[in-house]
Amino acid sequence: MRRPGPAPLAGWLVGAPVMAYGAWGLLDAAADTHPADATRWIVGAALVHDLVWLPVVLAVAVALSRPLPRRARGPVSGAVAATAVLVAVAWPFARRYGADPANPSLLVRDAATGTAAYVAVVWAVAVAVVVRRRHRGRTGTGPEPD
Amino acid sequence: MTGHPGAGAGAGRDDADRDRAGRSGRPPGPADGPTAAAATGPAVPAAPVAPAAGERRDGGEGGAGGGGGSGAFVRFPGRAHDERTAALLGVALGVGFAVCFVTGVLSHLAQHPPGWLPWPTRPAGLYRVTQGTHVVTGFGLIPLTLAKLWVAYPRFFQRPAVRSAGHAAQRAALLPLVGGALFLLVSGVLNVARWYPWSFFFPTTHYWAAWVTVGAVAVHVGTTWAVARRVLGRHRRPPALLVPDGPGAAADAGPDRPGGPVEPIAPGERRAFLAAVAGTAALVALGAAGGTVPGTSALSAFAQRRPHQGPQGVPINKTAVGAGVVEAATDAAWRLEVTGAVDRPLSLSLDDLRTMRRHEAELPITCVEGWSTSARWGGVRVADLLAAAGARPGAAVTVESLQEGGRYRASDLDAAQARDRDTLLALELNGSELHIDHGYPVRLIGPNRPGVLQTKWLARLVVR
Repeated sequence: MRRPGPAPLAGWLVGAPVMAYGAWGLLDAAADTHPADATRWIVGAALVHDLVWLPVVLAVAVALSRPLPRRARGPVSGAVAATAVLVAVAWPFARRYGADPANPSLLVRDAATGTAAYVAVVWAVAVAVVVRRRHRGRTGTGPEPD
Repeated sequence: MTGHPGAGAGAGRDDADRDRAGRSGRPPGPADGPTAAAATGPAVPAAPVAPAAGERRDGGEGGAGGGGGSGAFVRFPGRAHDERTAALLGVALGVGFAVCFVTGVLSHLAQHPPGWLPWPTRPAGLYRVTQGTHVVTGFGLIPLTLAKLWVAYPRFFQRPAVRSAGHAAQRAALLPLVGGALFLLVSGVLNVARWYPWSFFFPTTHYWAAWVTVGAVAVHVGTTWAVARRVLGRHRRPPALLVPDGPGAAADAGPDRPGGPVEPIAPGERRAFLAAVAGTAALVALGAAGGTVPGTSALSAFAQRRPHQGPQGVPINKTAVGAGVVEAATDAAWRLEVTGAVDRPLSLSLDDLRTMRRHEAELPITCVEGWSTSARWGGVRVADLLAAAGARPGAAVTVESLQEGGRYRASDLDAAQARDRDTLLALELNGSELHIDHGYPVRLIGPNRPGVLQTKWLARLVVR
């Protein structure tokens, strides 16, 4: 088996004290950080991603791309993933959870419409890629990229 | 995510890589048979997850494409799940998280200046740039992070789950890495959205979680360094696929694999994937940039602000109503007290301040939440007021608000900040009297200060 070299040890020598410093800070400022709640969010973020977010996005991407010609599967899957990311990021803005009626300068944008425009751009690019692949496949001007 | 590229490399991986590179054109053979299962240990329960998106010509027909063998927990035919894709994304993430970490620590130092580092007053727009960079880069990191986790996802299912104490430690360190990184992104976005569905105080928790995450990044860089060098270095070799299996996985995907080796991803396919990730990152960053990056406001989907929308053309963070100061700020008996280490304590009415020498400065106001705008402020120099009160040269000042509570009811000016020519007690904004939401009757405004330290609705200056 290949010897790992000094990098893993160096990584631990640098990383472990930095992690410990951060953990100490979280505990030392417990009145602000509420370590139990913070831990719940940190661990929860990983679990929700691994067990919910990614499987669901993959399932949707596969369901939508599987019936399509091969050249369209990659672009469509990618567009599904990009759409999911954009919608997730925009969600709290579009829902205006943080709005303050006394402060009309806050959350002033129509995030739903703006994000819909971004999603339209994503799908336009995906369609353009598929059309270009199809064209190349027909005319033989380039390799058939599936 | 638990697993790192290369952890499953058993004996003969390099040979497998070389062979695979030379024989990638080999046609698909029969489907995976019992031999592969025997080579990778007992078969485990069927996939809870569908095959990965983006599958290509190895898309499952004929059994030629599985990233893992038949012993795999989950089949991942998408060939973007390889070490080189992971390493390229890893480098981009390393740079992006480093930028966010450095700018985040700077923001922390600006808000809580330690004795050993006086926070400079120049350049006046420095904090505007560092904090804008922090927020916009952070948003851009979201697609990069999610793409990296998808590429490495097969390793989540690696068997055996733990091979040794060192391997266990590596996998354990992935929880602070992945959970920490996702926490920083999620909490940062929700802070910009002003939504706090948790009990902790955001800035402190975000700050300390960043140290934990960066430490975990250092560990991860160390454990993946050799793989990254092998697939990105000058004498690089073809990358192995990230497959779920443990030892033997590389061989299982390699030339001895029944049905032929799994073909490596074509460079064009990887470029297309990375371009899509980069494009999405750019869109998400653009979505957040409009509150601070010049020229992006019209194209920005979810930035918290428009730079010039608000009373007197400037956004508001804390309102007078929210701060509970409306009555005190509009009281005719209001006075600004100058007390502490001074020869002549002062008690000044608004008219007294208006008769003092007036100074104007063009200064940005910058919020930690990633918006900023430049404005024309008019008022009295803090330095002039200190001189009038007979403060010693080099005095520092605590500036206190009418607010009765809250973390930001007071802020400090060190000696350099207090004597800066543009550190003002502002009475006017963009040519008219200060709006009450901007801090009427008088507020502090100084160069290169976080917005929360530009204290509003002043009551008193305590000289030290």
